[in-house]
Amino acid sequence: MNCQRFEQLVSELARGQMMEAEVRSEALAHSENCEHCLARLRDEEKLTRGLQLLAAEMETLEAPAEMELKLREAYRTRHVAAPVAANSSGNSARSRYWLVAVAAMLLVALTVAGMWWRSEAPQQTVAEKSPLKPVETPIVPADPSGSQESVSPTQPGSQDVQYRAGNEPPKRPTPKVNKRNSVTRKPEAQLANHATNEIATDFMPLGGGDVNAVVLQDGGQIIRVRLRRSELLRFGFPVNMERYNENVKADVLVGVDGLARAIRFVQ
Amino acid sequence: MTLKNQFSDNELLRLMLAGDEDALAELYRRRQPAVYRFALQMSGSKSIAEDVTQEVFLFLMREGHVFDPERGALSAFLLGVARNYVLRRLRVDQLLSPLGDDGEEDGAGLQASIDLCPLDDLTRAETIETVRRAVLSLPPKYREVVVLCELQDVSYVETADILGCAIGTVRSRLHRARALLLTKLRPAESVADADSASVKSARCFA
Ligand SMILES: [Zn+2]
Repeated sequence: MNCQRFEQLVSELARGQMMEAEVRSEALAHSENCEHCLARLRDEEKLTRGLQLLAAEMETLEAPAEMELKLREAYRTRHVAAPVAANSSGNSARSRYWLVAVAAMLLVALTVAGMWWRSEAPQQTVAEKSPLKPVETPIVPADPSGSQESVSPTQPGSQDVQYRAGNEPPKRPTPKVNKRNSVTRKPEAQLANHATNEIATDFMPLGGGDVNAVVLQDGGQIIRVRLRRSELLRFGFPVNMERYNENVKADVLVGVDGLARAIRFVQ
Repeated sequence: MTLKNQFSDNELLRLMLAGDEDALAELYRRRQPAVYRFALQMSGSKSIAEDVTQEVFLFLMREGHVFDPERGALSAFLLGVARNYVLRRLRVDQLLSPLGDDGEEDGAGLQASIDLCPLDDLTRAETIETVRRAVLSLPPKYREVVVLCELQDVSYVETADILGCAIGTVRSRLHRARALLLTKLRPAESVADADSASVKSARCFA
């Protein structure tokens, strides 16, 4: 046994891992005659003891008791509200079909109503006269997550179908600011339940993607974070260089797959 | 009354998916501590650990049917799911620093903040805290093998299953992770020659 071979074995030796008896005794014999390798073994053993202490210290830790209650509640909701949902990929496809159908009918009805309104009320403002295009909103199961930082989408109500002037060219995310409590909130703005007077920008996709596609999934979460003001530059916002190192608040929209999909800045 | 605690994990999962709430409760009680501790040891944050634990079991309720008992134990499956949630959460937090509302959050952002120590003089509590911080400062791919193999006492085989890699990879990452830990726990004066970490001793570690 040489020092190099000993080095390959020293962690396993210190962790008391299974190894051939002959190899073990050769390694130990080497360490008795090699000061350097003996020191290595002692340090590895100390590391093992330190890790064992840490493991023992954390051994009894577990999630808070109320989590079981929350999960049970979520489970009940799931099984009462959607008793056949577990094996129903076909059903969910069917329900999506119906949602699309309902949205389409609404669109037709509102377009007709809009045309009628335009002919009946010529003094309407430009924005109101524009053909209206519905923006789909998330339809999600009740999400039991009660985390402080996460905000679950809610069931859409009647105002959940949003309308936007249909002739507008598609816009890149711009530093447009929405009053979060305004009546014509974006669907993504409805995700937040912070009933405050905060002002937020629109959600901007991270890594290219459609924000609406994210919220149209089964759920998703908004995580409130703080980040460097300098990050604003990446999204095309002007940054006061004197406040470059300060933090700003932002909401990150995380999809059901756990990936961060979009961000908005909050003031 | 059915004694659910006599059922295997797989039986409990099957019952849970069929609508048996007690099966969910038993499965949760049996498996949540490992999931919670894994998330806590990976993130250093109680709130992340709680979120992840909740997400893992919500996922199991929603997608439990994707578990294939042929491919490994449910406990490993749950840790694999927890790992995905933790890593994604850490990636978000790496991009964006957390709000830090409870003062305990020191997980992912704890780079190089370890007090390189005279560990010989440390009390048990100090040793634990120093080691905890050293583990948290490891890059995630090394941290996860330390958490699984050293702190959770998961076998190499199961760890490989959870991480989706070969056993040899687990072994070599653990070796490297331990060398990194020793480097981090080494007194400041020997950090200069940290390059040879894997063949030098960490004199201060007790
Ligand atoms: Zn030697």
